[in-house]
Amino acid sequence: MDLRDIRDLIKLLDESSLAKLELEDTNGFKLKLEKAPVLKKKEASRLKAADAVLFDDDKLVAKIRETDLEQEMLTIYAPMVGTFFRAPAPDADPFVKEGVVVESGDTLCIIEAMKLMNEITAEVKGRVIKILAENGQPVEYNQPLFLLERL
Amino acid sequence: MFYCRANTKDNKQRILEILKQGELVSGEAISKELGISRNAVWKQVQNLKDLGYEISAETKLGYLLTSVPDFLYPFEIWPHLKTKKLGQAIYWDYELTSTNDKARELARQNALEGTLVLAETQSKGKGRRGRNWESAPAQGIYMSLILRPVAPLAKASPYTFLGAYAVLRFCLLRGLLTKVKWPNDIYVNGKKISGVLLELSATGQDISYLVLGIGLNVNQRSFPVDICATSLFLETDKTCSRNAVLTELLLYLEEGYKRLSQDTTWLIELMKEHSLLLGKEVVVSGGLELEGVAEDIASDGALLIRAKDNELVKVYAGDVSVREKNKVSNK
Repeated sequence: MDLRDIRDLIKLLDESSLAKLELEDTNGFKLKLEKAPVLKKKEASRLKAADAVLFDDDKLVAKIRETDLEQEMLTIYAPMVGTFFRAPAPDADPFVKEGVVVESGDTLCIIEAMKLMNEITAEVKGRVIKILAENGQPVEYNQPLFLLERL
Repeated sequence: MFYCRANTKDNKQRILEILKQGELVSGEAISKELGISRNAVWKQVQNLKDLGYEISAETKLGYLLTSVPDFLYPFEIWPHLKTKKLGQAIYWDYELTSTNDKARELARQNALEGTLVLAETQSKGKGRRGRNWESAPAQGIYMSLILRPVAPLAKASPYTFLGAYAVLRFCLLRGLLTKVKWPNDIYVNGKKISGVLLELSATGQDISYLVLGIGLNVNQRSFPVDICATSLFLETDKTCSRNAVLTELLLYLEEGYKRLSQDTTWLIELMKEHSLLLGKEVVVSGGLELEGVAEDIASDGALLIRAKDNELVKVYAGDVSVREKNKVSNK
C-alpha cells in the first residue's frame, strides 16, 4: 500500500456515509481512518471567525467573533488556493484600502492560481475594516482576507 | 468595429461574396441581385474600401475585387468556421487595450458563451501580473473567448490548460517540437510562441464567466532581441493564413472544452507528457520562493516540486523557471 492508495481510501471514505474505516493487509499493515465530525453551518462560521486568530491580533478576533454573530460584520474568505494580490498590476493602485466604502460588485482583490486571475468581489455594500492577507503572498482555501462592516 | 452573429448577412457581406467570385461585375447586376438601389451598392463598395478591400471601379464595366486585407473580420472567419458554439458571435476591432478587457466587459453585459473578441493589435496586451504581450499589428492572433462552464470555483483550475491544449495540438500536427511551460505557455524549439491568461468571475462558489485570452505569434518576421520568442512563420518558413489558424484553434478549443466538462485527467496527462519543466531543476519566485526539481503535475493542475529538503511542495502560482547550470533563465 502506498500513499496513493491511502489517498484514494480517504477520498472513498469522504464520499461515503461511513464514519470509520479500518483495514489490515497480509503484511500486517494496519490503517485506521476516521472522519471528522461535520459541522453545522453556524458552528462552521463561528469557527472560521476564530481561525482569524492565526492572522491577526486578539482584539480583532474578539471583534470578528462578537460582530460576525450580530451580522454587522462580514468576513471575506479565500474561495480558492492561490496568491493574493491587492492590485491589478504591480505598479497599479490597490483595489481597496482600509477605511474605504465598497459597493456590491466592487473588486476587492485578485487571487491567482495557475495564471487564472480570480477577481473577488464584494457581495454587499460595506466598509473595509481590515485587510487580513498580505499582498503577493500565498493564501489557503478559506483563509480570511477582508473584514467588512455592512452598511 | 463589429459585433455580429453568423446568421445575419448584411448587404456589405453579400456584395463581398459576389465580388469574391473574382469577376468584373456591374453595379446594376449587383443591385438587381440584392434588390437594392445602385446608389446603395456604391455606398457599400465604399464601405468595403474603407475596410481595406481594394476594389477597382471602372465606368460602364463595373467592380472588380483586386485585393483582400489580412484582417480577422468576422465575416471572413465565419465561412471557414466549423464550431457549433465558439465564435458564433465575434467582436472585432483593429485596436483594443486588450482583448481580455473587452471580453470581460461583454461578459458582464451577459454576452453569450462562445463570444469571441479579436483585435489586430493591443495597446496594453496583457501578460501575467501587468506584464506586456507584444501585439504586432496583424501579425499574430490576439483573442479572448467568453466561457461559462457550469462548475464550482474549486474545479476551475484545469481550464487554465485549455488554451495551451489547442495551441499544442496545432503545433504538434505540424511536426514542431512543442513544449508547455507550466501552467500554459507554449514553447517551440525552446522559444515562446504563445501565452495564455485567464480571468474569472464567480458568483458565490460558482463560476459566472471565464475569459480565456490567447496570444499566438503567427507571421512575425522578427522579435526584439531581449525577447526569446518565435512565430509560426519563423518555425515553418511559411506565411500562415491567420484566419485558417484561428478557425482550427477554435475547433480544438471547442472539442477540448466539451471533454473538460466531463473529465479533466486526459488534459493533465497531456500537460505532463509535453511539459517543459518536469524532471528539471526549477526556481520559483514571486510570493513563494523555492528551488527544487519539478516532479509532477497534480490532479488539480498544481505543479509538484521536490524541494531541497525532500519535501514535496504544491505550487499554485508564481514564476517558475528552469535553472540552467549556474544562472537562472527567466524567459
